[in-house]
Amino acid sequence: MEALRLEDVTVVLGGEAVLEDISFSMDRGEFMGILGPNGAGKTVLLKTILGVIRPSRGRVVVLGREPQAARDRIGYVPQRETMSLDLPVSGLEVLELAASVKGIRDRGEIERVLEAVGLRAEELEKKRYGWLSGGTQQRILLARALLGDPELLLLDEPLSAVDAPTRRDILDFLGEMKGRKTIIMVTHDPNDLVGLADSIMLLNRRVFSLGTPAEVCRPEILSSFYGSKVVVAEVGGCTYVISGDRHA
Amino acid sequence: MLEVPMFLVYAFLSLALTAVMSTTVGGLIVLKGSTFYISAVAHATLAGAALGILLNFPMYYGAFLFGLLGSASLALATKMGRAQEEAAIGVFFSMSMSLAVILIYLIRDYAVKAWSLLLGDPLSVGPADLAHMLLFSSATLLIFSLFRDRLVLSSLDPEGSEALGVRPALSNFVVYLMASMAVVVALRVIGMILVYAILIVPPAAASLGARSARQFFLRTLAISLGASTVSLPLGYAVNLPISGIIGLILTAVYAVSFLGRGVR
Repeated sequence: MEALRLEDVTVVLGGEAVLEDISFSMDRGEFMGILGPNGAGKTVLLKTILGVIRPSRGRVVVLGREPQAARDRIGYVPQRETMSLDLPVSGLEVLELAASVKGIRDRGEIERVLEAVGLRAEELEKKRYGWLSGGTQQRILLARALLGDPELLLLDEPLSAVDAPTRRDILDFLGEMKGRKTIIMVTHDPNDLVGLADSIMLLNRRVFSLGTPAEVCRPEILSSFYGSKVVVAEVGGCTYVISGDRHA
Repeated sequence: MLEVPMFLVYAFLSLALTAVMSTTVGGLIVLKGSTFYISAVAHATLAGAALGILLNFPMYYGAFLFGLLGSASLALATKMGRAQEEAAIGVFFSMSMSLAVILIYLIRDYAVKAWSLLLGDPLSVGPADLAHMLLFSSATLLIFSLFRDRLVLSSLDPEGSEALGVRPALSNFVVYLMASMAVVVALRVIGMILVYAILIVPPAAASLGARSARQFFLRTLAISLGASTVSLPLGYAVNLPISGIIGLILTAVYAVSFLGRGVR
């Protein structure tokens, strides 16, 4: 069953086309990874699906509806640094405020999403959000995206600025979510998507390549996309990028 | 039994209303990081108040009208990005102050009235003033209580709140509208020059050590009310301007909070 469809979507911001002719669709439960250099339009694409940015041309259909009408079925994790860390708000309040805005009055829902990401309300109640570790902040943002049990999850670089154990935990968590939710994750590292993504999009304002990991993570395609030589290796049936400009 | 003169009661009530404005509106403005806006809207309301006096109608409504116009134009400017918003505040600041200077000059007995607009005086607040102030503060409180979580979230995290369906331009306008009303309430009490001190310094001090938004708003109220409660009898006893004393006490509170910051 279809979860998402984009038809010839073009987004022009400040007179410049930041996305051009994007077309793809996703089935429910599918996991898509998006790779691309800075300025490729990855965040704009997520915000267009979210309905925050309206396409200049083309159409976005989320769960059979306009994105704005489907917003309560979408969970979004923005890049962590978009929120000031120097403000008096507790980790728990980040969730409570979002729950209130979403019209969720059930306290049990906050406990549920915190448990899902391995946190407890008592740990977050008396600590400023900005004083928590980067990993805990990221888990809070993930928990916030899960409020109301959305069908579609949009994750904008959820693994940036977190340490290796937290990175592993978040990837494990996403592995548990796989198949239960439709997920789009933007990342700079193709290896984050190993074993998770059903499909990978290489994006640089236009769709450079879109297909299964085996189809996309081929040396000639990645080398051409990043403009430098990329070497990949097959380990245990999975394709890993072992050298090249992974963070282009 | 000690009888408290009514003008002191009115003065205290007007300061209490201003403290509530500091807690709600000042708190939101500090969370937004747009504290400069309070100065801009104070200058705008000064021009409006002067126009009210000149045309012989209650200055509160002239002040509010100008504040409202400023809020609408600045909320539109926020759509153009942070740099443009700050530039727009600066331009608006200059325009409204120029207008205020001309209007104040045109008021016949302008020296006394201009002085009262610039410096304020809680001891000169009468029942009629208090009624106008109550009207504006009630409206502000009503908006705050109805939309508190949306306004707090959009002030703290504009991008995250937009993803949850909060419209940033509308949210900005509502906060700026509330700021106009808060400045109108504070203008008579503390004057245009020190509006920033009474509306922004308490939440700025509270933000330094508060661990949660709940604690932040409660501390702001305590600081603001505490400074007013100490300053009123003190200023009255030593015959010095109460607004100046409040400003100095709040500065001291901020300095102590700043030195004690980071204690987690």
